[in-house]
Amino acid sequence: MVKNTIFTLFFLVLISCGKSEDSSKAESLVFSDVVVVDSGANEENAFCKNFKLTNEQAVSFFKRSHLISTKIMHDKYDYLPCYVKGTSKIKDKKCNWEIRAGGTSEISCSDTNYILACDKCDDLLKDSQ
Amino acid sequence: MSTLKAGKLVDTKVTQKIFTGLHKGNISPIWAIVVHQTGAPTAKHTFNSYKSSSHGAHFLIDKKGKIYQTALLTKLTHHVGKIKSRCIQTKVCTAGELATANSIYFKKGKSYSVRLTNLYKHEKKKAYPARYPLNKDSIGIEIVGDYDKAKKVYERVNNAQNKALKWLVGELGFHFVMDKHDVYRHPEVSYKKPSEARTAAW
Repeated sequence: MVKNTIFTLFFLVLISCGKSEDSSKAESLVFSDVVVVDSGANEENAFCKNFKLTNEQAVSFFKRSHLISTKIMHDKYDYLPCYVKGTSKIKDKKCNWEIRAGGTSEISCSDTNYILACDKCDDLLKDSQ
Repeated sequence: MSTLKAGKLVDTKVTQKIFTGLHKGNISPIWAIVVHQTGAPTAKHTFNSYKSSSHGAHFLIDKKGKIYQTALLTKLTHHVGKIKSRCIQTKVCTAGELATANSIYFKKGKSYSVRLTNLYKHEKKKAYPARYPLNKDSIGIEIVGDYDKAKKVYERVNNAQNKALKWLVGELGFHFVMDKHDVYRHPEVSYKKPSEARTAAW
């Protein structure tokens, strides 16, 4: 079961310096132990029925993402009811994350929260069937 | 009663603080109002962002209920985003139109982002109110309210803010001939967090 397979992958989410409006301060996040645990929608919605990600696809999403502010999330990104949720470690702290089909991710760690966005994830964020 | 002069809403209740960088061309006839929350704890945060951001609204209501006009009402600003299909959301449309919109919305093999963009292009061709309001024909009102990253919700709109919002909506409705049905919370018209402006009342 790919879904339940715990594997360790280290990678960096590099903050793009090319779009000053998009990015918060330069920083990098180191993820490990990325595991998908759930998928679904916040409302009864056939639109989200087939939104799924594997662990590997979640890793790809984070690799291609950059940190954004709350304002940028509001101004530039679509928030969809479709989600995939999972866990990971960042800086050795256990974190819960959710990836939304609109291209954003919110990550909650013990004392820190992050919002990420991926602008080049169309190949990941589509029906799995 | 307020007056309109060269795109400014003139009244003692309104402080002019125009950011010309928010102006993105001339606005069409105005049909609607879209109510937002800033996702920032103070008005100052949003004013600072307006100095460099291309996104913003026409008015801002601070935590004490003070109203600022931040863009002229003769100019459109980028505050709405990609609109949803009103036909899909309300089912108040012909069966043919619903089938067309659904064929775009549920298109297999396309990413969610591409499907929303294509649906937006389709919706833009319609006239209001068959579609939701666009930047070109709506006034944006921002209410200062932070976003709680841990709880993933916007904070509640307070009583002073709702009192100011009610007054502002009334004045704009009078000047541009709109009623309460033409006032929308941002997540109603485009793909935004459901808690944004949920507690706004007018």
